[in-house]
Amino acid sequence: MASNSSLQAVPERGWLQGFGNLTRKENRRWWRTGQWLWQTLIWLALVNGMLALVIIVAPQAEAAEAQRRTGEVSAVEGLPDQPPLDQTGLMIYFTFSGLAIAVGVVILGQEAVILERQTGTAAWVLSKPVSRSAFLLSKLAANALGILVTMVLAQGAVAYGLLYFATGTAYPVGGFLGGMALVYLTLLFYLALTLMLGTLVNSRGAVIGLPLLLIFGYQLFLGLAPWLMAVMPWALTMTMSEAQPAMALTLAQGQPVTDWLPAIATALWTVVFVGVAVWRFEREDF
Amino acid sequence: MDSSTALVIETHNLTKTYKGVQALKGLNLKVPKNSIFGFLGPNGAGKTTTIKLLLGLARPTSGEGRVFGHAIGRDSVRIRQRVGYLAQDPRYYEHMTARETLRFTAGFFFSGPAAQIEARIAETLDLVGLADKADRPLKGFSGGERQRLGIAQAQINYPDLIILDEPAASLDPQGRRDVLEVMERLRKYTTIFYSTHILDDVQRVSDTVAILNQGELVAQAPIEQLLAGSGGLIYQVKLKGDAEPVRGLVAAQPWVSTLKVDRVNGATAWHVGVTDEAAAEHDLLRLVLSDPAVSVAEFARQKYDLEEAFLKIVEGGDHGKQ
Repeated sequence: MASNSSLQAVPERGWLQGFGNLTRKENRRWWRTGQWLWQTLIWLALVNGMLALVIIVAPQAEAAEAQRRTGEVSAVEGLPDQPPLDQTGLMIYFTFSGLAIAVGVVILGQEAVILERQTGTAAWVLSKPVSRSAFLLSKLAANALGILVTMVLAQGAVAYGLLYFATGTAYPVGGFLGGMALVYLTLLFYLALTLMLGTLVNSRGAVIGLPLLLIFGYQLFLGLAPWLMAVMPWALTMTMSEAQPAMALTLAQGQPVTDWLPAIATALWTVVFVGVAVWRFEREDF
Repeated sequence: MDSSTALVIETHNLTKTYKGVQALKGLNLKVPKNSIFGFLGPNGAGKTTTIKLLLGLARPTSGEGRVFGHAIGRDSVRIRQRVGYLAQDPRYYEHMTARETLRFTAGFFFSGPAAQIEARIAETLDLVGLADKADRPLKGFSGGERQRLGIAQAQINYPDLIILDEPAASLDPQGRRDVLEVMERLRKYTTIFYSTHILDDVQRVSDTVAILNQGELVAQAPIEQLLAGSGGLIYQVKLKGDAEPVRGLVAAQPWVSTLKVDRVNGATAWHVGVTDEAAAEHDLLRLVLSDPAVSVAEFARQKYDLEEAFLKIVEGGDHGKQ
């Protein structure tokens, strides 16, 4: 460089060259624009809004209806076959986190790579002293942080509060955090999958479509191959039946999880997706 | 300095194939240090492909290349630390301002001090005439302003080599002039390698030229040499009076290969092809003037303008190899 001696050169970081600068840029997009607020509010409305509807509004409406019909005090008391309200709420929270928030993660993730490839900003950034792995990993790191704070921690805290104040149940904090960790692992799985697809194909439809198929088509896949339950993230947040509660639900209730294989497999898939994404991105011609 | 260190870019049989189509065929390129190197060729000749290979944005199918002695591909990050690059159709983050774009770019090269980095950004904005638009989002920028921002981001790191891909292609005449002026200012500090198909620009600022056609390098030479022509040396002599007697004398010289005669407005114009430049310079005019009936109105070695040379080389059957 025809250098100016008063400026300090960025030290060499090998395969992570440029990671710090890129991550700062991605973090600014999350935290210095309204994105963090929008994401928090959207999922507050969709996930905790649904939770509030189920554990606060619906019982009150049912109680009022029952009182109108029978003059009895509580509709809930009149429906002994239904699961306790706190358990229903907990299941709603984890199921919606694994479904609705996962969709949000897919939409965020597809913008991260394929949009930059298609608009040409990736080619511009990569013409600087930046390693391709740093480019991808910065997307993963910044989005993983944004998702953790706005979609997992914020929503989990509100859900915990709602469940406590509406049903009086104080779930063990450690177990509830464990359940949130499984939600986060599920979301990381979809983020990594979307990033990987963004490096493999040129169609935004395909990048969004395949993860959405996995999110919403789990019953179809399980009907064809039930063993997939053990190696896919569905068991982490989805309650399949009373006998097969979500792992997150079990943990949040302070009960032991007997089979960790789905969580381990989800973590491994996530690592594999990231590895494939880096491998493919290194070979991309811009 | 030996010849290898005097070369900033050197490629050896560099080849790139896209889906069975050879975009670049065995390119052997040598770009000397401190030159303004014009990389010419019609659209689709392989200029952008070459640039992308040099920067590690694409991987060669075969062959090799070195920039500052570093292997392209394997050491591409090290190469890009010393290079500034302006793409043909540069795309930036539209939500950023010009200053934020340069700050982001500078972040890949400099870690501090912050005040010095900001001073460098301000200096660069000033250089390209964007100081008054520095804090506007890029989505409102015109094509010319984007191009100037492109030059700014390409030289924020004090690069030893600036690579510009068609820097003036999308600009109006004033924008082109501005870009060429910036290039001439930068030549004091750096080597400039730029691709273009605008021949006037090349003739104005370049000192060395390479011509690429259909993925093949068909000429590479200092611009003066290229402008001297590729079809052998030709002298143009404009005569008055009866030149027929002396024509036979000139045509009989062993160093004269061809002699064509044109009549122009009552005067005679000769195009004398020669094989020995020294003999021609020493004897040709003397021979003509040995006939007292003849006077010489003009005498010059024929020069092509770049467009002629370019068309001759690109359209010539033998590719006009230099």
